[in-house]
Amino acid sequence: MKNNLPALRAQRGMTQGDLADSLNVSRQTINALETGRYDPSLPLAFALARLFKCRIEDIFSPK
Amino acid sequence: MSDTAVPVKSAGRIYIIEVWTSGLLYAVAMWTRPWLIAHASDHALVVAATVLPALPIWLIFVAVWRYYLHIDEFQKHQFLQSLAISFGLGCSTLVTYSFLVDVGLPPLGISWAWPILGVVWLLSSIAIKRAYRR
Repeated sequence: MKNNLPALRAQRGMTQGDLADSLNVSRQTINALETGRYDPSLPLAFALARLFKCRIEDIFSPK
Repeated sequence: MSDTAVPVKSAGRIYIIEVWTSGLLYAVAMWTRPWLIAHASDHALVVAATVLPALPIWLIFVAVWRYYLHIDEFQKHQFLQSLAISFGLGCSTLVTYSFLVDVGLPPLGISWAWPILGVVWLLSSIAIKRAYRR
């Protein structure tokens, strides 16, 4: 899947570490998500959507 | 997300402390075992002293399981991949070696299985982490 996590994160002035701490995941996990090497589970995708106050499909889209 | 209240950041540190403590207990148990066996007054104590080093091995298993519960989903994904690869490689290596014993290689005791699987698991974990870093 494609995602615009780096842009959403940058808009809020967050580092990968900040985002990782907010979601209780590792920074490596955020990096893997942003680079498309790992697709999140639904609970993690919902947590991201809640954090960024948007819908899951606003963050992730099919390639 | 991690399934527990333990911060994901702490999982690795807790795991290393628990594994090293278990390793230390294993070394102490192996060091004191001959003395305990020699000085045990009845058969039950001899049996207890004989299996004493197995207890820290069980503690390592508990530490690994606790680590699995504390890590996040991507780390679990990598963990299970490396475990699957190491299980396949480790078992295949041990079976291949057992056939080579028939042509003259020295037989290995069952106590070698855990260290061999551990080394293969370590190598596969490193390989998986590097694969996702590319």
